[in-house]
Amino acid sequence: MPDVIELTNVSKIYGFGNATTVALDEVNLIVKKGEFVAIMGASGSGKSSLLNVIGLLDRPTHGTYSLSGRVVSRLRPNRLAKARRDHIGFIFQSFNLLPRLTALDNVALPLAYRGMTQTKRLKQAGRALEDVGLSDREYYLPKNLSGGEAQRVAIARALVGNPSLIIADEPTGNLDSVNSKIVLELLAELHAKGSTILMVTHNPELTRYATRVLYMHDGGIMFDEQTKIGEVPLRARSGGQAKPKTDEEEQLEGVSLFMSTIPARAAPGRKKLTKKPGKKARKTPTKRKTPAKTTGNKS
Amino acid sequence: MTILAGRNVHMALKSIKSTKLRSVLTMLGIIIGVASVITAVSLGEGVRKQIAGSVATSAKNVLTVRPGKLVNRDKNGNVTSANYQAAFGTAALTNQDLQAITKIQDVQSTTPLSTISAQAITRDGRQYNSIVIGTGADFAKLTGQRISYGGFFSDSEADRNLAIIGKTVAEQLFQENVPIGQVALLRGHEFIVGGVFDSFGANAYTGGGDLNTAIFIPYSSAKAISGNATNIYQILVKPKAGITEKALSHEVTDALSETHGGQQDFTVLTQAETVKLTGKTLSMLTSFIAGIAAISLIVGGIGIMNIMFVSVTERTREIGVRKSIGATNRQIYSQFSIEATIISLVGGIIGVLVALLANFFIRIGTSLTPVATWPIVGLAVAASTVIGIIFGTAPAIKAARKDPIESLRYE
Ligand SMILES: Nc1ncnc2c1ncn2[C@@H]1O[C@H](COP(=O)(O)OP(=O)(O)O)[C@@H](O)[C@H]1O
Repeated sequence: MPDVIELTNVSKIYGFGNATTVALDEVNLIVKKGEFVAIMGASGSGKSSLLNVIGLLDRPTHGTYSLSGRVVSRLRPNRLAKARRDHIGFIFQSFNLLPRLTALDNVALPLAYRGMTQTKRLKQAGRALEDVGLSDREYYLPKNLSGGEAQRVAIARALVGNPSLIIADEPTGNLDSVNSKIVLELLAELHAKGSTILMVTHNPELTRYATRVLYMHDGGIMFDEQTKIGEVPLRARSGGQAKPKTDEEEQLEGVSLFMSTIPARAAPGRKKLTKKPGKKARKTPTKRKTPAKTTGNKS
Repeated sequence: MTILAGRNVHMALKSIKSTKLRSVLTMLGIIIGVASVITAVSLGEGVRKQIAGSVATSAKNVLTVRPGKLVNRDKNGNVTSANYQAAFGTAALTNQDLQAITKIQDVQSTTPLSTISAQAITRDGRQYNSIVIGTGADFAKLTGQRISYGGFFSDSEADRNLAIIGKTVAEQLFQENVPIGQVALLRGHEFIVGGVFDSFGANAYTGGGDLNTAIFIPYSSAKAISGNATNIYQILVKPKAGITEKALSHEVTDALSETHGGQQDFTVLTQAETVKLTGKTLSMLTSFIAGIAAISLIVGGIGIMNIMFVSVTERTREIGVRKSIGATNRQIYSQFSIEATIISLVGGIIGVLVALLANFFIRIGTSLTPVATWPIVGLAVAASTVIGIIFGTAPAIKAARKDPIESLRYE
């Protein structure tokens, strides 16, 4: 049985000329079937870039990516979309349900793009909703669902097509602690049934559901450790840093790691804080890191 | 693919329904375009049918002589094409022409239609700007126009000051339905109303005016009160029994060539040719108006394109989500393309309904009877569909090309 994910020297470089940013730097990664991988790291460390490449939303600039034994790193957009449709299930921080469709229709949507008949896909979507415990919400519109329910519908949508890989990008980022727990229990359940899950999180507590934690830094995987389910590794608590820092910049990085990790523990008040970094990360860290990373400034 | 198309249609309908007001506003251009094209064409069609009908009910075997060279003919004398500029020319027929025709052996009678400029005034000083037409005693018979009250003047009354009036004149000038025996002053001469015409439909003898607003008086009286300044715009010629229209038309042509010094600045038409020519003029006019209306269809298409662009931008995130769950560019493209097509198709269908409603009101509100034919309705609906496909293309391409990552970030 081939590994679900096999990344060999994968790089992602944004921009061109002398204003490039290296978002992923020669990453090597193998994820086997049935793993539940948590990815941690500060804003700008390359987590999204990694998820985009693995989730087939983007192609790596260099390197090879095999998904379930098939090289997908050079696929044309059309093939990429089909591979995404057949192999990947996404769960987003902001749920991303289509507002005009009912819960059931939302869940059935991926099947529609596979060309499944209406009756078949509604039936399958109904089962997926049952799996997340929301059979009684089939005909609700997203605006009438609570945040936790919306995310569970999104999970149903991600798993409805039996994907090889479920990718969750801060799935609890917009949820309170109770709902976060429900969502994670659901993911753990899927994992127990054999699903392979990749999850980005800022909340170290959530790593207790994972079997493996990756710590990203500056576009690379700094640490990669296996953990037992139910345990939060020490490194996760400390925000993933163990590397001695010398220069000022690295310390600043550490501060920002700390900042993005600590508020995550104070569950109720953190909604806004975690929603923003996705955006802020695009500006501040880039600026800070640019002198070190841009090829233009070096020469 | 069919499953997908069906699903997309379903999706499109949902999306259109959820933004009803905007969708209707988007459709407005198409609705107006389709409605006006159909109304224009069905009006033209209706008038054409009416004219054909009016000829069918009037006396057969009548030649029409008109000023100007209205048609081109081949060697055999068949009309090859109409000469539209001539219709707006300054040529006129004269009293001499009338006499020349009357002198022809095979002519049974001639009925001139001439206008004089005169304002009608009643005894109590009410005024009415009507068309005053001097004509012959056979006018009503030849045109098949019925008279509701009273009667037309006869040959023996041809030099009397009698007036047969259109329905509208009765209502406006005399303010009663049957003003028989009343007096109208034309250029200071008293004319007694002898009859009131039934409502005139569109017919081949109107010369462009609404004959319901016309006052008909004997030609000789018209000459007398205008000091011979009549303006003959048409002469109807009835052949003697046993003489064919065709044969007589040659004789009339020859006679008039002589009075006109060999110049062919007049036209002799048989009844069939009159109908055909009027039909041709009409269809030219109809297609002209329909052409202008069709422009509003294009404008409607541009409106659809605009709104679709807005909609694509607004739904950037939706596009990102759809792509992330595996929609291909082609699938996104067809989603938006189908939506645009449905909007304009529905707009087209509403346009047809509006046109049918307009036709209905025109029918009951005026003397016109518009006729909407299937081909034009089908064509209008097809055109609106094609416009949706064409103008939906650019927005659909824009939607399909959106980058999934950027789109997912869109707020
Ligand atoms: N579209 C882009 N264009 C240019 N730079 C980008 C783009 N996306 C991400 N980056 C840069 O790549 C680096 C990694 O970003 P990202 O993968 O978003 O990290 P994270 O998800 O951990 O915050 C950052 O320096 C970021 O500014």
